[in-house]
Amino acid sequence: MKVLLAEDDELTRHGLAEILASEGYQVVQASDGAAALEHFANEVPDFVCLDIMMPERSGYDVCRSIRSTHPDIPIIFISAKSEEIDKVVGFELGADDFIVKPFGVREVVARIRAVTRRCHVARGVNPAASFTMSDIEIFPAELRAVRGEQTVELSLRDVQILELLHRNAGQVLDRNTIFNHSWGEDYFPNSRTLDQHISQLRKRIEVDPKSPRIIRTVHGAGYRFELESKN
Amino acid sequence: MRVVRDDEVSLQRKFEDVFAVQIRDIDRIISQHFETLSNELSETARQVEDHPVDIRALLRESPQVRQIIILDHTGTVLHPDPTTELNLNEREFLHEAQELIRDRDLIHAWRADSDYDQRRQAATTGKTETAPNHPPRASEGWHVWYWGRGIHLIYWQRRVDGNVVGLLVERGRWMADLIAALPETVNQKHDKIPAASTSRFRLVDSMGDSVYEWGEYEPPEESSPLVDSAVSAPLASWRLQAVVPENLIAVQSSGIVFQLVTGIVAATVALSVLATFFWREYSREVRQASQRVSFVNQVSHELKTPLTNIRMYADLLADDLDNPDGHAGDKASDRLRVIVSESQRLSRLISNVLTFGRQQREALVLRYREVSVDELVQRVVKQFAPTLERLAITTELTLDASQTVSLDDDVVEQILVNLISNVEKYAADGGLLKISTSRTATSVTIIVADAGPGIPIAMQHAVFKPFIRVSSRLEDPAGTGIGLSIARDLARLHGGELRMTDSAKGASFCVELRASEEDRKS
Repeated sequence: MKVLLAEDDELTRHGLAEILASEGYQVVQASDGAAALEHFANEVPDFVCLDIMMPERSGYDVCRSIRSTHPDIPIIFISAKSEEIDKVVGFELGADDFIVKPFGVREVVARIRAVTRRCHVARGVNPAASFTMSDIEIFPAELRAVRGEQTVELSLRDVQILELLHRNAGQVLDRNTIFNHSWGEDYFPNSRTLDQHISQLRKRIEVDPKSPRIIRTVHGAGYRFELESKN
Repeated sequence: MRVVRDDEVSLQRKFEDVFAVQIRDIDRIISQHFETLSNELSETARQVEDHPVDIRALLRESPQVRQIIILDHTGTVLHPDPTTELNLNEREFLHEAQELIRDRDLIHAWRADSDYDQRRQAATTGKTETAPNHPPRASEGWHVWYWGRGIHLIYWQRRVDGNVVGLLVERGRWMADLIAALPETVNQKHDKIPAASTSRFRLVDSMGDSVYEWGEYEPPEESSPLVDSAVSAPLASWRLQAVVPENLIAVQSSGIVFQLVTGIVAATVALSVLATFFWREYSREVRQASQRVSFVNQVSHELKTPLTNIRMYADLLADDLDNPDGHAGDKASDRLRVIVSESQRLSRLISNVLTFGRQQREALVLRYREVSVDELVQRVVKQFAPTLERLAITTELTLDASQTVSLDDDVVEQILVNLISNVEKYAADGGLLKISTSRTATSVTIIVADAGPGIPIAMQHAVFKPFIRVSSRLEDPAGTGIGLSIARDLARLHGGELRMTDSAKGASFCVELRASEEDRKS
């Protein structure tokens, strides 16, 4: 899923881009409003994050211009302008959400995931569609997993990894295959990136992360998901 | 008792007069806002070509305009032409504007000089000797259109070919801009005039709904305004209202009862003085209000940007520490570097705001120390080094003031920081920061120059005034508009001066500082 991120402060933009990339999004960055519109035309992202006060064209203008040709694309404003009028104008122009600076990483992640869920629904993906891995049910469009009463929030990348393992149940998937599928072929991770990610994911979805039943390590080869019936 | 009642009535009238003056001042702000907007739209309207492709391109470049309509003198729509292929926006607009076009409201309103066509035709057929050289007298203006969510504004311009171009102004945009031009929602407390903080002003739309309110007093529902006045065109169907507590007049009135004993004439005179003072002070307040709104918004934005980065990078650092990978050390030091540099940026801004506040209270005191100006310059430049490097700005230092001199180094540092911050914000494209220093027996000179776009001649006289930014549009770089004003005041406080100097390219500022009395004697 591709995100256009337009923000003029370089440090804020890089930080946000890192958060989005770690969630599993492909990020297209723009440092001003004019570049944002140019990237939008060339890249056609799945949703857009816009700062309001930007050089060349303001976030409001960019939003309006995008809305004129793509009325359904989700747009999130990220801005220090928290006054009510900004929110009104933002929503009147068709923004889907509003993140007010200063924000924490958790808030950004939660809002991005919420917009991604809406993207899935807008594309006609059935939010109730699911698959089961061991005792946990994964709802990809909802970026959630459910075990009994417990709900686990997932990132886009978590879902991509779980979908891949589920689709290839019983097979060992080597690291490169998982990387290419979930990080993209252009991504050059360090040797521990995938292991780190799997370790974090296990903490959230496994009953006992030390004896995983969903994502099993095949030493020297990669990872594997076994269907319960085969156990 | 009749005397008291008469005096209450007289007092009520005085209050009404005072608030009516304030309402007129606010209305003037609104009028000026629309005058500025109409000047901008007039320019846009002149660029409208006939071809739909050109019109659509112009719309993309004109964020204030939602749609463009062209009518001929009979009221026939030339654009968007319903007989051709239209985009979604054009189709929606024609649908919304059906009634407007069918009722010929537009064309009647716009044909302000109805004999223009006849005169022009007569001229071309030789019935008169001269053709009118200019478009008709009332060749442009506002048309108000009520549809859907309420008022819509169309700026129209009649062209020399007799056709009329109408620009439907983006509603969200003009409303936001208008509200931004009005005073803050809650005024700062006014020590001198208690009454100024005990009123509520309302901008009310044609449906009687409040669009925007300000003032500390929160009136009960159904309270009727003391003053209720129509707004000037184009928002003539809207109203400006001032609401005051009923007991405000009663309190003043009870004062009158007391003063009746001591002398009613004295009270009337006192109230007249109060009213005059109130009127003068409030007029000044209203004039400064839009600048303050802008300042507060800018400071808030400026503070929040480094704060956002500090918080975000601290969160990322915490995540790294929770999930260490092979590059945790490198990443952690990068993140810490950002946190430190952003903290410095934050503290620079806070220093400026505090200095500004102290200046306002005239509470700034200089603390002289023996300082080498060259070392000070190097220290400040080092502070900016990461940012300058990131923005690819090369620094050229020509330093010739290494001997120590008695100065307030905090003050000189703040002047330098403000000048370099401006280079970073507004002149990064030039890629150059030049600082030179020199020293005479009695003074030190520091010149800070860049190779950026420079400052327009029209703005050069105003850049040292507080709240003045070369532009305050959303699209322009952030800034509070107090940096140069503070820098110059600090230089003057130091017995020196900050001025713009001629420069072939970019902007150049020269700081001249006098050394302290002791230093000059030595």
